[in-house]
Amino acid sequence: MCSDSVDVPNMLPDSSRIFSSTGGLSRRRLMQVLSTVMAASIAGRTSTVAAAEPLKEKFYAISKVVLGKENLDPVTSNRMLGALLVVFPKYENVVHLLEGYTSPGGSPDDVLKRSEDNQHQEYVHDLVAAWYTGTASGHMNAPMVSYFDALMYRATKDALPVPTYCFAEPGWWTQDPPELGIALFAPKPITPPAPPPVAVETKPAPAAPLHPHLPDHTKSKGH
Amino acid sequence: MVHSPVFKQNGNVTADVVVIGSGAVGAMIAHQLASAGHSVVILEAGRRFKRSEFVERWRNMPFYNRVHNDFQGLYPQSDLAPAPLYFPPNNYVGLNGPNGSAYQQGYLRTVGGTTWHWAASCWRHLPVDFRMHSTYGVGRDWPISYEDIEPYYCRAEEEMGVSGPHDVALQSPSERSRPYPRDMIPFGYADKRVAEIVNPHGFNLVPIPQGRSIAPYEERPACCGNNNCQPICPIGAMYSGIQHVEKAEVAGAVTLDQAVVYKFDTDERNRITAAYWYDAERKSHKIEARAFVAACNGIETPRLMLLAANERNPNGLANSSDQVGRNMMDHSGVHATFLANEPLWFGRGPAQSSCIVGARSGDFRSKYSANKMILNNISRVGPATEQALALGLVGQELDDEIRRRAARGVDLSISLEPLPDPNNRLTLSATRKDPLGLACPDIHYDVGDYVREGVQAVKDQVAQIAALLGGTEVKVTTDFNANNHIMGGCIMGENNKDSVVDGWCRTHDHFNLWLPGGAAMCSASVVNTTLSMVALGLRAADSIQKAFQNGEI
Ligand SMILES: Cc1cc2nc3c(=O)[nH]c(=O)nc-3n(C[C@H](O)[C@H](O)[C@H](O)COP(=O)(O)OP(=O)(O)OC[C@H]3O[C@@H](n4cnc5c(N)ncnc54)[C@H](O)[C@@H]3O)c2cc1C
Ligand code: SF4
Repeated sequence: MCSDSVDVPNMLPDSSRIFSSTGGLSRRRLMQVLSTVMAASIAGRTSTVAAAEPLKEKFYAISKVVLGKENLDPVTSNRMLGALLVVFPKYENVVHLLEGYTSPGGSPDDVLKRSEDNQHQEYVHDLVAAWYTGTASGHMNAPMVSYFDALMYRATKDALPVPTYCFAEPGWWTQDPPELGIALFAPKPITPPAPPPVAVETKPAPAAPLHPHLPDHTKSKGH
Repeated sequence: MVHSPVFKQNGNVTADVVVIGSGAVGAMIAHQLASAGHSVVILEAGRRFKRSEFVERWRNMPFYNRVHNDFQGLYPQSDLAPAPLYFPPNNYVGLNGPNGSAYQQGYLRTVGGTTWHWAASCWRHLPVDFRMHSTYGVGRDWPISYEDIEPYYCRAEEEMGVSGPHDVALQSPSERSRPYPRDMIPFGYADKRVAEIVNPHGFNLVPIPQGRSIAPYEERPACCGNNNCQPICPIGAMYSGIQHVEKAEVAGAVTLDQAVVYKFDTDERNRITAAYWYDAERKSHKIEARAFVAACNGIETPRLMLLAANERNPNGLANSSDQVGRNMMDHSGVHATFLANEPLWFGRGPAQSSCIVGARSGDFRSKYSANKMILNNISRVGPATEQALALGLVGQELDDEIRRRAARGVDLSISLEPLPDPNNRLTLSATRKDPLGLACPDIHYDVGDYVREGVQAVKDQVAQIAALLGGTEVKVTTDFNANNHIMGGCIMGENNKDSVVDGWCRTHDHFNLWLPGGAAMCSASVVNTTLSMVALGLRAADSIQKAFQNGEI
């Protein structure tokens, strides 16, 4: 087991946050992440990133505690670890660190509080976000791990189908939706960020000079 | 008797008709003419894939891309025929002018065209939309009336298997000579509840007529409401141009993919005698035919006409009016999002369901744009998750916040109507070329004061609707977004003084060249335009058949 004294800031400087509850990501860092991701996808599927058995087991165990859920798929867990190792080259150290916050057990809130005491809460948020979105990081073209099993869909599975997987028979949607079953308003007042626009989003006009698009014969044509 | 195109050993071809572009417009024309016994070749710049491959690629797309609508990422591009891309942006279409960024269209170049990832709303223009200038003193009148196009609207609805309301009070417009092929897709809870709340206050919530049905239609399965119409219906319940490509092929048409048309031959009477295309190996081939149709969409059709300039037509084909590439239009839109104070659960059923059309017409149109507000019925789980994660929640609180936001989330997609303005213009870039060395399109765009002034009405209406629904976190986007309803680049009119094609989408300059679809449209209305484009395509197909029958071509 790893102790709390592991020097995480040296392994993953703060600027390396991917999912962030506090702010954006520098363009430079984004480019670093993207190039890592691209390198990974050139090297092969993220699921082929091998992790040692004990590390896989540890990751599975900490995921259950951080998420507060017992019924996680172990195969998805292994793939998620592989993807996180691609995005965060030293993710192994994060696993050890999180083990320190999770080994006493407790609720996800307890884990978060323990990590906050050491200003390591972002590692908890990253792990949670990865499992909820099914993608190793929150950015464009990040390694993708699971679609149907992304945890976000569990919270609404009685009311909304996972898109592309339908419910029952045609016309089911005319039935009344299920009860919300929770408080309609959040118990604590919150100031959320602006929601991202849906459908076709406005993009700024290209400012840079426009170049011809040369064919890239290195791209695979075998789809 | 079915005639087949004749292929020579060097790859050149002879046929009765060549249709350039295999989208809904081109494919339907090819189907009609092949069914009438003509030999038809469809030349399509993009590649061909199976539906299942697109579905797989969508499910494998990372969260960020999916939630930010990377609709094109699942449709692999041809190396030689790029389309505008967002992820990452490829700047294939150069945009400039006051609202250039509002014109970032997301069309596809693939066999079947852009209706692979559309939402299948199938609206008709209002009768008055064809008389904008004589009624409201703005824009242009069409050379044809609603009555002229009405039978083609009926045929287009039949071909696309449109479900729409049989109840006249819910129709927009209600001037119809035939019922919809299918009754409306029944409302979900969100549509019913919002109608109950807003309609008593003067809003008019109606069902969206749409190219899907809750019972099987012809070859198509019933819609099972899996809410993924944009960007791919996994089961083919939603209409797509690929369905008419396949029907045209059954009727004898031949589709060549990765075939980029770039040039035409014209004779001394300025008839088109041949078209040329590059294949996947960049080899050029020639097709000789009696009728030529360019149904390449509202951007690529004018681009092709300009690219094809020759000695007899130095400013581009069909361009003696200098109107090719002018009058570019699209429904520049805005989005409004908020959280209602009760669970509405948008996202149950198809992605399109109902729409507020109260402000679609009226005397105000002499001063400012009408608007149309779609209640987007796309699952809010993705955006709700993004927001809940950004709040830093974990455990049960996170699950609850996702559920709460997904249930309460409302997204209104609002369209405004631009007027045709010759200064909104597509030209060929002097510096940028595509991989085949063909000039990329540049577009100058200004939404115009008519739209800018219409936005104030939108803001007032959104504020009212949000208040009625107890909305919090109300946001209206301030930048205009594109809606991919590309119109105007080869505008229709009486003569070649100020227009490119006639009321049958036949060019004034070349009597065997037709340019059907969005490029020919003279007014945008505020409703999605593909049904109008397809209706114009079917009119063009009739006109081609007549020209064959009369021995004109
Ligand atoms: C996300 C999205 C949602 C939409 N939703 C709706 C909706 O709900 N309702 C609605 O009415 N409309 C909607 N639209 C718009 C609709 O998709 C288009 O209006 C419609 O697809 C236009 O059909 P088309 O046949 O004219 O062109 P396209 O479908 O664009 O087909 C044109 C074809 O021509 C080919 N081509 C171009 N140039 C050449 C060349 N030089 N040589 C050979 N081939 C060429 C292209 O590769 C392409 O495949 C939506 C669009 C998008 C992007
Ligand atoms: S709701 Fe599903 S089945 Fe119905 S049209 Fe949309 S994607 Fe297809």
